[in-house]
Amino acid sequence: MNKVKLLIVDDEVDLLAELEPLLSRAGYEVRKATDGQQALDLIDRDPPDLVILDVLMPRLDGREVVRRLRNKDDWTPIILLTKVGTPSERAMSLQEGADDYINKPFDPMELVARVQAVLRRTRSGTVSLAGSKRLISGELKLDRQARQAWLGDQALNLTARAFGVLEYLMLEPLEVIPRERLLDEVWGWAYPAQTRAVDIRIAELRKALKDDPGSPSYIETVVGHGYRFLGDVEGQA
Amino acid sequence: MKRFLPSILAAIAPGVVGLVWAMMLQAGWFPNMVFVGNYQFDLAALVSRVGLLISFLLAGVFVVGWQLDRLARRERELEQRAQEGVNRRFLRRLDHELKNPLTIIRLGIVNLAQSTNLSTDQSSTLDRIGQQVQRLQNLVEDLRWLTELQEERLERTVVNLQEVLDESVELVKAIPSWSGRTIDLSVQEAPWPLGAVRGDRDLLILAFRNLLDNALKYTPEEGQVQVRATDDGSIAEIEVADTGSGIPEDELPHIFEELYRGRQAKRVEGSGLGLTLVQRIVKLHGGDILVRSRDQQGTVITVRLPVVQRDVAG
Repeated sequence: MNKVKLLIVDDEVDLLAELEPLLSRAGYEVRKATDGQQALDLIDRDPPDLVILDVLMPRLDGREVVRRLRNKDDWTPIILLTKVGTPSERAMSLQEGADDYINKPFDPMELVARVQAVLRRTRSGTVSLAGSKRLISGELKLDRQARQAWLGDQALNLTARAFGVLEYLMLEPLEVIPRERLLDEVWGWAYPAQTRAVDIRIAELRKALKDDPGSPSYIETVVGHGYRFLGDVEGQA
Repeated sequence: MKRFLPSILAAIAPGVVGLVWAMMLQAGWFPNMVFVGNYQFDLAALVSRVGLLISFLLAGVFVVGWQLDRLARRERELEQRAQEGVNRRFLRRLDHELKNPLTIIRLGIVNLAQSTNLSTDQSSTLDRIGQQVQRLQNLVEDLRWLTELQEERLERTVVNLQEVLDESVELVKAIPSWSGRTIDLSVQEAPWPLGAVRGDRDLLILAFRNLLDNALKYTPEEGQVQVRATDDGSIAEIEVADTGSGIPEDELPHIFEELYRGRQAKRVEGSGLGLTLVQRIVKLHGGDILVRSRDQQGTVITVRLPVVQRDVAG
């Protein structure tokens, strides 16, 4: 069986040197490029199954690489390595069509988990939801720009953070998202003792969605791990 | 207005005294017309005019003084804001520049741990390096987060302070090191219950959790930690008091500074950012924070927050 091919692109040679063995041990065939142009050439010659792409690079930066690939209808899954700080800045990095992003300095095992998750999603034929303006799962609709959610015809009165949590969970349906990641992504800070803040927003969401935690239709608690959005999510441009 | 009152009274006084005296002279209580050589003086007119002149002069001096004071304060504020901007930009750059090295170190640690047969000692060393790298990363992230904690990051709702305090106590007790400790929580119920504030619930909980964590850290197990909350109808005052090691007087002016760690604090784990964060959160809520302490006797930190009107709080 052929190994899954990953292309890692970063102008920091030392980072590539450390990433390669990590991903090889995880069972992937790894290629390397040190700038955006080199990455595009390599993708043309021998398309990889997934690209891990730094955003800030000389010659051609990561966002431009994503734009050029998507413009020529190349939908190779891409994980961006970002350095930007606030949740909104990070979310913006997905607008160009990347499938996921991970903020430096990341937990190496978290990167491996994200690679697996993105591959799982793309293999099952699921289109990345990151660039969608609206997310729909059955009766539940989310307008990401207007920051408004509806259940059927009823507009939901959610706090900004509860909306952010729901949005984040829906962007990665069926994946278990740890509380710390939600804190980091939605709140913009990750004090370990504050994970209870996440539980409170989940309770708020369950109440609004009339979701029974005992037999949930939307949000499942995965004890000791975090939360998971159940059900299919469809994206609308 | 209150702080101007003594000056306003001082400025009005000579004019009023002059007028009263002039009225008494005209009423014939004292001789009014005085002759000096060939000149005749109307004392009532003289006294009232001199009084009014002094009043005008004093008022002028006070107004100029207030304006100068206002300008000086404005200048200090601008300077402080400029300095904060410089700090913010510096921390953003530092945070940015440290991201790649920290990522590479973390990757290297995992690679070493996974790919080599390390002795127990070597594994422990690697674990310690990993922990220290994480600590460094947390510190830089916390510093940056602190500088970026601005109004636009807050989610403002009407927040019940009693719930915030209950939850902060519960959260801090859930920390394994403090599981056996008691915290006395006393919250005003009469003549009206503790009010609500308009603010960010999560941040307020973080602030009180940090204050309680600090109090427990510096108080021996047999000591006391108390939380007392009162509400005068416009300001809620929450005191977090302990019978811990206290803060020496010379350290008190510095305890809210970023990364400041007192002599006592050096023996206790911490980043030196906890109280800075608490102060920032309280200020973002329009409140203030005060500290009183006696070395070796204990500390009380008072947080004062404006409460919302009861009809708003519901």
